[in-house]
Amino acid sequence: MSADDARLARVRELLRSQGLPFADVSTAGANHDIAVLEGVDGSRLASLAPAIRSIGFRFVALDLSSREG
Amino acid sequence: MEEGGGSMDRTAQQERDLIAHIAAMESVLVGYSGGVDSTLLASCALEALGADRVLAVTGISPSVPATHRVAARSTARRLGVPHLEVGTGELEDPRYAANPSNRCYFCKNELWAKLSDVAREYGLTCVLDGTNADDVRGHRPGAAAARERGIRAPLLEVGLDKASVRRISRRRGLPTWDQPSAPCLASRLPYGLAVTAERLAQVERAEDAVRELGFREFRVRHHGDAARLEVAPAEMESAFALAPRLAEALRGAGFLRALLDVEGYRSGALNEGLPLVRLEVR
Repeated sequence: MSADDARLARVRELLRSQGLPFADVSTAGANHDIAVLEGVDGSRLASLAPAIRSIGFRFVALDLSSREG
Repeated sequence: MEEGGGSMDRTAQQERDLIAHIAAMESVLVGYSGGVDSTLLASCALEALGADRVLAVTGISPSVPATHRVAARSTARRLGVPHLEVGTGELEDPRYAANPSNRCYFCKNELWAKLSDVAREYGLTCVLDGTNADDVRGHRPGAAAARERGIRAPLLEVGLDKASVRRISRRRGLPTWDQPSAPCLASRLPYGLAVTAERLAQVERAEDAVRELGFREFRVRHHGDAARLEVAPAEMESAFALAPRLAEALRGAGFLRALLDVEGYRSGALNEGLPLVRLEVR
């Protein structure tokens, strides 16, 4: 398992533990330092960010395209 | 920004102190971005010395958004201060273009060199920078370039912090008193990502499009093929509501991925937790 995969696995585990089984995460940025969340309600995103950053991401973001109709 | 009687007296005194401080300088060139600090400086210099002993000069390069250039011209005209624009070539300096953590040193070195040349050409005694007392905190490599060239910083020299600058500006009726901070476009690129005219133009297009959607305080951070939008916390709900249009705006600027930072706009956020890589000046 690559380092990226390991980080993503830990974030998915975190999301499940927070009652978000259908949320997903990917990476973005030249250094893969952005955790990009999908399927998470906007109001919960900010509260999850510190825990996600502690897993090894510098930034936590929402994919704006995932909210398009 | 409400003031009690005592605060108003203090603001008035700070204004008088600043004007008196500049009055001792004989003649000045103001490094003029059109922002809060340099506009106050230009306004007070005009009052202290008169229009024939003050020149406001704006440095122009691809790192300066067109909107800032237009605003600087407009505000200078409104103040009645003599105003020039001068091209700066920091992008041609590979030490700047490499985008090290002391990038600003090379940018400011170029700016102050050009402005010092203009001051000599016009016979002006002092070159002024709008640095204020809050600016001495944090990572500010550009300040070293100003110090090395003997650039004066009256706002700092009389002890004015940003809040005081805004209060005095409001007292003087300056249109910039509540203007958000506006660093150059290169600040949207993380250290180590080369500064190119193309990337700067991409950020500018993206920010113009986001501004068209009504957002006021935000940054579009360039992460290669991804744009990461930071908006002020007060505008976050609007960002969620306008997500599809924001996505379209960022992709329209040439980014493949359009992202919204969930923690919102934070000054200096690109450099959080980064080891600082400096290029030494020899």
